[in-house]
Amino acid sequence: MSFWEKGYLATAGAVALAASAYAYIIWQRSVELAAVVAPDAASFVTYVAVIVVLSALAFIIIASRDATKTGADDALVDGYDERDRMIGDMANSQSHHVTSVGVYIALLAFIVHGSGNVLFYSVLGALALGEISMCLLRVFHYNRAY
Amino acid sequence: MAFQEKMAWAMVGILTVTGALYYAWVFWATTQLGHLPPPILPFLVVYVVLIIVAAALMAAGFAITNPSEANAPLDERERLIQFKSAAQSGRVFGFLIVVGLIDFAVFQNGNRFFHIAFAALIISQILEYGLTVLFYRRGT
Repeated sequence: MSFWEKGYLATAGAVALAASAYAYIIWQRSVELAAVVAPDAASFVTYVAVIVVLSALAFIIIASRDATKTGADDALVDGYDERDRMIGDMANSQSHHVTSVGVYIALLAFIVHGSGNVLFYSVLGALALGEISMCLLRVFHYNRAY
Repeated sequence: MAFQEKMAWAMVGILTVTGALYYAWVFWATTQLGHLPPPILPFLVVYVVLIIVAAALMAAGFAITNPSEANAPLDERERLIQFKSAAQSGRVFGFLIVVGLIDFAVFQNGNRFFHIAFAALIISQILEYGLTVLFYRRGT
């Protein structure tokens, strides 16, 4: 498995973990209030920061672990070639469709329910799903021969 | 000019005109009401139907004038162009959606967030087709 595959798998895990934790916290607060709790800037910023830090850490740890292996290639990380770019564009374009469908569903839900908080959480969920699908699609395309 | 490029030009025009009309209505309604109007489902349905009908008419027109070109499958270069333009417009879409999320976290206005998210969808679509035209012109 290449460096980029491992990195994107770890990023997908980080987003899934952070999104699940965020959803659990919101669900707990909403149960206490008996209504969908309004998003606050602090928890939102923490959620984004956790994803960024976990993804960066995953890439750093994978790179340092691979580099210390016996016979490691000198150009372990810098090899982002034409195929990597094509796979990146394919995964990004397909995940864009996932996010768009999620946002459309969220907008429809808002028209029906009229709750801005539900719209916020469903759009955030669509973004998280789009990000996870982008990472997994990259891994999928890496494992196909192009 | 390739069929895909002609369609991309047509979609840029259709989405720009319908998007401008929709947001002209939103601004007009805002000035009348004194606040942003909530989304109105029949209005949105008309908007979507208008885009579908206009796009179908354009595609039919281009296909009638050059049927062999319209039925030809996408080649390697055309596929790359589609992936590239969708990937780049996806980044802009993600950025605009995050702007909308922050705006909602600050102002707590659901209608405003709806209109921002809807605008993000329209802008990213226009950008996707615009970039498709650009990449066809550049020969990428």
